[in-house]
Amino acid sequence: MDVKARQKLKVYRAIDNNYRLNVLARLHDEPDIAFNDLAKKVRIDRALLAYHVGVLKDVGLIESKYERRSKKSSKYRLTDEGIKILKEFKLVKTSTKKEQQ
Amino acid sequence: MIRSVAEAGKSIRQKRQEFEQRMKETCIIAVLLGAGGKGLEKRRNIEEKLEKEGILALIPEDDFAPDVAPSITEEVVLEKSDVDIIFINVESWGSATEFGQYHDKEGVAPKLRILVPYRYHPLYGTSTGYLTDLYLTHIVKYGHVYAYDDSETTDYPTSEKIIMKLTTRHRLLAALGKI
Repeated sequence: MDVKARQKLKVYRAIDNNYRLNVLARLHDEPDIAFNDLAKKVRIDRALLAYHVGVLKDVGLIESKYERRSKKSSKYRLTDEGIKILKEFKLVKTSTKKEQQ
Repeated sequence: MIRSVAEAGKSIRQKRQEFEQRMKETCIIAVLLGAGGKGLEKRRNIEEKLEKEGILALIPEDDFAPDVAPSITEEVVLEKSDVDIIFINVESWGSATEFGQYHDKEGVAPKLRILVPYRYHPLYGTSTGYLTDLYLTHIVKYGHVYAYDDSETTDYPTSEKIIMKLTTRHRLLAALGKI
């Protein structure tokens, strides 16, 4: 099987989970949200969230930055690929041609 | 129209199944546990190879969010997540503790694949350690305790060969709906 098809399979596997879909939808609404806030918003155990964001990062749907200053915390945002997949499955509004202009 | 997460979830499952049937393949999630240092390097190499094979491979120290200690994350993840297969390479005190912690945990134990240096394997090895008896119990109850030799001086396979073979076969069986 070619690399592209396998990557697509990985993405489908990653998003075939309501927790992870909730994370993606939340990151669309609040880019650069801190890990602890994300856990509160999607109402999930922090330890389990650490895994789910790991899966989403692995397939390239989200990216993070880890700030070591003061209180250590990761912040997450969607990648272009992440935004594309949310649009594909109509979890967010697809922008019209007029809006794009 | 914007869909709810539940509606989108149904549509994703359907699309995934159609795609899997067409490709005659599926994607599984594998977690690689083991020692730090050289052990971590070895796991990173294996992870890269698994990813090329289309397997979603995760190393807790690298891939899980750093906001929670990996030891805390692991226990919850292995028990409550959608991970398909978990490899523990027992090559350090830490990984021996992990095996001790998960070896009989309902929900985790059937997913475990234990990799043991051949010398310590209860059936093939001659050295006995404090874990030898636990390995034997695990073999009788669940199977999946594999002897390896990463020095490649014996006929035993390397840990990498074992992981690649078992994971790709697991994926095949999952695609056929047999697991």
